[in-house]
Amino acid sequence: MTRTNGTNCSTRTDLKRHPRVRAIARGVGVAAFAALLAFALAGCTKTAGTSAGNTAAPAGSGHTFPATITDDASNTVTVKAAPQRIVSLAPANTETLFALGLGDKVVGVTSYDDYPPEVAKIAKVGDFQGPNVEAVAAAKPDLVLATSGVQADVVKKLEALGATVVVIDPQTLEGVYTDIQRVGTITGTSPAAEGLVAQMKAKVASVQKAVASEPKVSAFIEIGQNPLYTAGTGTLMDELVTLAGGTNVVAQPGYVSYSAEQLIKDDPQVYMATKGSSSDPASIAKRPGYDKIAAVKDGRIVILDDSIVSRPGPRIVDGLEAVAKALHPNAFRAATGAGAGASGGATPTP
Amino acid sequence: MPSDRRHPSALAVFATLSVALAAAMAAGLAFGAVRVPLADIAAAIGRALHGGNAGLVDTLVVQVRLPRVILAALVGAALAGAGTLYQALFRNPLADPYILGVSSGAGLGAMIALVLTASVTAARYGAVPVAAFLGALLTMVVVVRLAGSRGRLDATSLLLAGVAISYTLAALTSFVMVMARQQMAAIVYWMMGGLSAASWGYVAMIAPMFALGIAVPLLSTRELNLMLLGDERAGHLGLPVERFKVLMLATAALLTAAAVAVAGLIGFVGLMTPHMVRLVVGPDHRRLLPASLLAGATVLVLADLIARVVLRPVEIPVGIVTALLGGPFFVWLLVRERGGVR
Amino acid sequence: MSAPAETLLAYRTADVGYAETPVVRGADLDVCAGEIVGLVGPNGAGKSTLLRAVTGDSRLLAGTLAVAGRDVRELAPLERARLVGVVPQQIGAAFSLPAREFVALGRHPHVPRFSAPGEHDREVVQRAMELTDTARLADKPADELSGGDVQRLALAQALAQEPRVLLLDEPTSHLDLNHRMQILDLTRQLADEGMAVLAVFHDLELAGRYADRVSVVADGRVGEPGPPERVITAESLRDVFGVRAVVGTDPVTGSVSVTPVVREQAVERGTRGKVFVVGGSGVAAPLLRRLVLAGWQVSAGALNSGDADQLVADALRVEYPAIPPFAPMDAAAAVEASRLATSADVVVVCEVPFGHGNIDNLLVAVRAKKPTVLVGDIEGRDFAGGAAASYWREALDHGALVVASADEVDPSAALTAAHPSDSSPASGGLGSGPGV
Repeated sequence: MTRTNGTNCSTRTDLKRHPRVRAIARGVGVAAFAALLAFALAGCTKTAGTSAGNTAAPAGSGHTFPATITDDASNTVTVKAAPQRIVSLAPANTETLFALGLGDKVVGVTSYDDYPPEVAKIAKVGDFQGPNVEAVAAAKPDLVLATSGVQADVVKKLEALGATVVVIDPQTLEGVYTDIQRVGTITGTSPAAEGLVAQMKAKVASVQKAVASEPKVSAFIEIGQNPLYTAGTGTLMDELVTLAGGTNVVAQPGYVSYSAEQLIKDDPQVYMATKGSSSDPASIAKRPGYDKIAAVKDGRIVILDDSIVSRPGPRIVDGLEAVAKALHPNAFRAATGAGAGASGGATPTP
Repeated sequence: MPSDRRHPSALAVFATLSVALAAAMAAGLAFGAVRVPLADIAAAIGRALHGGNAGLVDTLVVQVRLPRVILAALVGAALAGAGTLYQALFRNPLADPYILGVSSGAGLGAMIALVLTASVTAARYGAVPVAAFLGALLTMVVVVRLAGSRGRLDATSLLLAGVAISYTLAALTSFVMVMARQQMAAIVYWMMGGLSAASWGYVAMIAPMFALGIAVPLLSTRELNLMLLGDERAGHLGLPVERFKVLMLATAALLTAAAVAVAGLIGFVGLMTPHMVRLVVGPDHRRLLPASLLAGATVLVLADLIARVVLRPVEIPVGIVTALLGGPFFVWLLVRERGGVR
Repeated sequence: MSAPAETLLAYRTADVGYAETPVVRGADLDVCAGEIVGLVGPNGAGKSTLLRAVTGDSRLLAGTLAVAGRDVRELAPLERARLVGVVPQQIGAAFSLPAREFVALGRHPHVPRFSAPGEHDREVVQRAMELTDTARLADKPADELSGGDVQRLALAQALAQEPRVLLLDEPTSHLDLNHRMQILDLTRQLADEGMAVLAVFHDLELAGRYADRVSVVADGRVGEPGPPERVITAESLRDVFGVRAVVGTDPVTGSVSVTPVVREQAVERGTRGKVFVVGGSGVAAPLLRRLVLAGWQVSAGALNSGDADQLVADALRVEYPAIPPFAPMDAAAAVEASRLATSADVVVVCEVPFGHGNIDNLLVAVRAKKPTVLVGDIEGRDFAGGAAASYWREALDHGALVVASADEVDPSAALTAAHPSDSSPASGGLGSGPGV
């Protein structure tokens, strides 16, 4: 706004300083803050972590709403009604949703999601840097299944968009079951969830039965090469190895880089590598010093599909089976029915 | 008050450094993630030389540790040598081997190799070093061309060209990373630098380039001293300056590319080693260059040892060790130098 | 003078410069073994550029330049370094090489690639350092030495090359008196032993003293080299440097002496009036200078050739009748002096003794009947048998101002006093003029 006063100079009135404008701005700010507050309160109630993550939701409650769960970030989350637009920020969570028959309600996935094939058509709202808040907003979700990797401020923003954010990030097989049940609870698909969990447990049981009489086999899991990275104790993969009748040679906790010397000394009987790390057993065998490892000498280098051994979702039990087959191939050649081929009910075959 | 700063005699310096290197390599062989008694190590090497192999320990020592220690020595020497050359050419003690965008070029090469071998990871072992090497050399050529377009290769033009190319290539690498997310972890680890992929194959790959790359400068130490006087004065005393600069740049590029190809981007060694050595030995390249080579080898062998052992069997990136060791040591040296005779 | 000396440096219609435009055109210059050729001229004229064409630091855009008979463009750097040594204005001694090592770098063109320096090399270095008085600095790091020491080290380094041609670019700028003499004497000695030396001088007297031939470089041209006394003249200084100077022969050294008097630019254009000054024996020189600077058009009474005032008058382009040394004024001189005095506006008589030889100066000054300023007192200065005193009194009677010293001479005051056109009351003759 330009005004000329008597001396022929033009002065631009600084809007910011105009008293009337300031009053209006103040009013707008207060209103916006109030709206934000209302949204936040309406969305969910967050309390600081009280109980530990692993409480199971009531079984068979089915369509009861409002439903309350405690998620993996120890947040108590209440969902008022069955969500209609769900965004998943992890491939495992996406698979869970589809397995529970909620595929048509999924409106946003990450760019890593690849199973089931239908996800290719769904909008990508997240990538390696995390969720793209704008993309998520465009999907207008009422439920977001996040992982613990999503930053707190991003969670706040997502909630501000009117979505309920639930952290699904299981570290153990039990945790996977629990989380599937929780998802069932808050989506009103508890029966399906229970069914899925039952199927998964059955598969696990059959695998364990198949390997029950086999002697324990020492194993190593490579999740990265150059430098060599492995899954140590306390990881999901470590648990799979144990359940599959094996012993992880790595005694260190977590995902760690590992010395080749120590590996050679550990002399595992089976060497497993995820496909994303190494896809060719021959090249693994050629690494310096590896020719001394029992697994290499016996030709027991197995490449695993990342998407079933690394994802804490419904197909983790397929991963367990793959690991068990790697550790005890004989047990599975002999077995019929339960182990080989059958992949369980609600999970669509790829 | 005249300064009586005296540099130790050349003999003393070389003797000390040679002993230090030998000791470091012995330590590198003696210690590792797995405890192996010294006697067994000696025996294993002895057996290897005579063609025998008694099993696990021998493999561990001869196939895993020995090439790694040798590779560390070669890479450390190559980086220190390249750093010395750059510091002479730029007359700047802050020049390091990556100064002319070479690291970005190598990174981009490695990244492309990783992407192209995503489904054929077997090929990575050979492809990544070659691609990194080519990337480094090509970058150097582009930078020199860009800088020399006005006829003279002066330090400022080279640095500017290096920075420009460096940023461009880094941006390209990031772009490729975004497009090929699966390989991102791999390239990040590669960029942190490490010797975990060490093998006799890699030693064979780098040794000839290293030999060539240090033969040329070792024969040109007098000319390198002339460069200390400045381009113009060096020319007065008979040095064909522009030609010499190109030759030294090419040599430094060869050394850096070879090092980067097999070990990724290990920082710090190339910058700090020549500088630290210069503080002790003086600027005369007849002593500075050989001493830098020995010191660089020693530093990296020790750093790798620490990286392998401190959290065994977990290995930490060797670049972190070089930074954590070198920085404070250099500060101490500077303080001692300042507070001394003046 | 036996066989003609070898021409070691030959510029033939050479154009030199840095980019496409030459700084100096058509240079023709020879430097022979055993001589020092000095280049003088204003800043930026191209003297250094000429030097640098030999080492390739400036470009030879046209013409030829030969070093010891060989085209400089065909000389390999090492060959050239064996022939030509350079001492530049500034040396950047980076890092901390000991002085001896620094000088030893000069042996580079002589030590073969795969050899180490030998006994002969060490001897050459030692001799070079002794000649330049740097031997006592041998073990000191070069970056701890003073500018002058470094300058001498640079010369030692150049000498270590055992060159046949030495190029010096203002080599004594950082040196103290002692070392300056030492370096130039050394240069002279080297030339006498057969070195060809081409040196840039900013100090004209040094050029005159040490150079066998001097060439003036100005306006993109290289002047014909010649003996200093022929090349460095008041005229050339005026044309080339814009300075009015007195050029003479130094009685001690026998070489050219240059006394700059005033810059052309400092002289105010336009005249405030004309002043006729009676002086001699150097008494009037400061006054002449001051008046010229202040913009007065100055003329003077008769002056003997060789008289200090005469030299200054020449430099200042002051008109005066010249008379031979020690000779008395003759009729012609008196007439001329009278003409100059009567055409002036103010007459000043300086504190010079009057005898029969120059009494006519005082006479014409007084008889000119112009506003007059008398300096000092006639007491003790009359060697003309009372004539001077009587003229003095005559001037006083006509209203001349008297001031105590030449510094106080103010021609404007004299004019005002004589023609009170403004408000000041007519004070008649003897008002004491205000000091200037």
